[in-house]
Amino acid sequence: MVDPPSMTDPWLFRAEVSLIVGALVVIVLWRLMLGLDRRGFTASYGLPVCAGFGLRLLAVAVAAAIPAIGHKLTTTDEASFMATTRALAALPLSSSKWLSMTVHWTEVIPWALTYKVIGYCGSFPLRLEQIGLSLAAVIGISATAGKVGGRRAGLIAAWIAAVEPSSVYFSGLLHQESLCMVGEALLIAALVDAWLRDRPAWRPVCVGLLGLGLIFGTRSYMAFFAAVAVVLVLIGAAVCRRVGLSRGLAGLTAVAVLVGFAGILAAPHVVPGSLANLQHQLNLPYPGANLPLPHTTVTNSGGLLKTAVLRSIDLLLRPFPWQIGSAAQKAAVVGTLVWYLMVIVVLVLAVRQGLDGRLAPVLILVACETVGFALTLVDAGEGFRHRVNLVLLLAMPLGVLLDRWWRARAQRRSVAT
Amino acid sequence: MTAARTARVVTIGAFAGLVIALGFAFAMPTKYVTTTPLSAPSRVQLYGALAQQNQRPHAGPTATTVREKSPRTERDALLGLIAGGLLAFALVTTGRRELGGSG
Repeated sequence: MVDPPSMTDPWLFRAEVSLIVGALVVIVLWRLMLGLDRRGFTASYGLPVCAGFGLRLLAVAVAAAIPAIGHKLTTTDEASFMATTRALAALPLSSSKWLSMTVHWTEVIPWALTYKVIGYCGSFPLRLEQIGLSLAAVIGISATAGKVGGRRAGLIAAWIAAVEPSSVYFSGLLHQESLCMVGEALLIAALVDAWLRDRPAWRPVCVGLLGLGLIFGTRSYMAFFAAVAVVLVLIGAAVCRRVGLSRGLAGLTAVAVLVGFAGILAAPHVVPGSLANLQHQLNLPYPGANLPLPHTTVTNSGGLLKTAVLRSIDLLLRPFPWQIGSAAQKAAVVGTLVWYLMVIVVLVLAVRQGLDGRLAPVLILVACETVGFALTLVDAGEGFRHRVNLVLLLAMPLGVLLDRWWRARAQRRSVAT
Repeated sequence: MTAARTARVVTIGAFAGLVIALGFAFAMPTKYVTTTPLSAPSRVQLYGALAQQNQRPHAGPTATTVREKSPRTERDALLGLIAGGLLAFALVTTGRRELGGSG
């Protein structure tokens, strides 16, 4: 059927719903910035958040206008997410499906509730919700950076997380990333609080549990690795208070590597079913996965160890900038180069300035999530999408380290003059 | 900006949203022609009997239907009211720190 090129009811309806959702997103983000201001000066991060919002809207428009770039947004996982959303929205709220989906497919719930309350209004209002969630994660991680390093550290972290190209591109995607990043921002806030405090407090515990819950709801396997990070941070905080930072972290690293190695040796005997399931998923040919990684085996100890190491390197270094088969991959090169720059700057500054103990929680979480994502990585393009989680986490130490570098440079100049 | 002034701006925004939504709703054609391309089997099915009697009309491979505009004016007006009010509220509150709990 060919509709006449005139304004029709659906267009007006979708425009109105988009305006309502967009206005709600702006109001909620502003309230969040005010609410976290006492923690990390977030009320003064309006400019990066506005820039991030604008860039994300622009990315959605570009993806819609240029199919060669936007095809990934609509042809692969997103189609099944949309189908699930519409099926769930068609069910009454009293249906038990709502509860089970809240636990296992949490990312779908805001979209399904939107369709339930307003009716089918296309994908743009849902993308606005995703953008709002990703910016909420940016505000959360900046607040933590601001708490650790001060206002300028938080501001730098906010700018990095808000305008980093791959985060901008994937924020409009109807996928798990945005809500998972909110969970990670909550968890890292709780872990930093736990590291800084001598005695337990109920608020970090609640925030941490909420963050873990969101990570479990969006990616259940990642919740295991996040929980490992929580245990390591809590043990590390206690040990470092007793024996000092450098000795404590060295001991913690050695114990973590040994326990990880023992876990890899024991896993084929303890959880063979889970590894068989993982192997099945790694073998599945996914539609749209056009940058496949070499085949790997995870059902024995040697294969598991090799996969954890090699796929971690893949996650950190792929997709190759020279793999530029399509417009989407060419656009991805920018994100890859920015990622390399971020990693290099963090390493250089950490070596030159010495490691700040307050950054240990986020580095532990980055290490655990890298292994977690690596073990489930099928395609280099998928790795590129997963990497936005690491970009968000790495923005926090980068903000703190750059702020310290900036301050030290200003001091050197004042002494010289 | 006081609460009363905020309420006034939100009211004006909601009214503007209502007027704009009603304007769009009433400006739309109340009925319009929809052109549906017909596949070859459909054309045979439609004109086959007539064609056999040499009475097939000189029609292209399309069929036209007249569709009434769906009666959603009330819904569009309500959503326009809400959208206008929320947009006005977002515009007047963001950037103001005194409304927040801290800062």
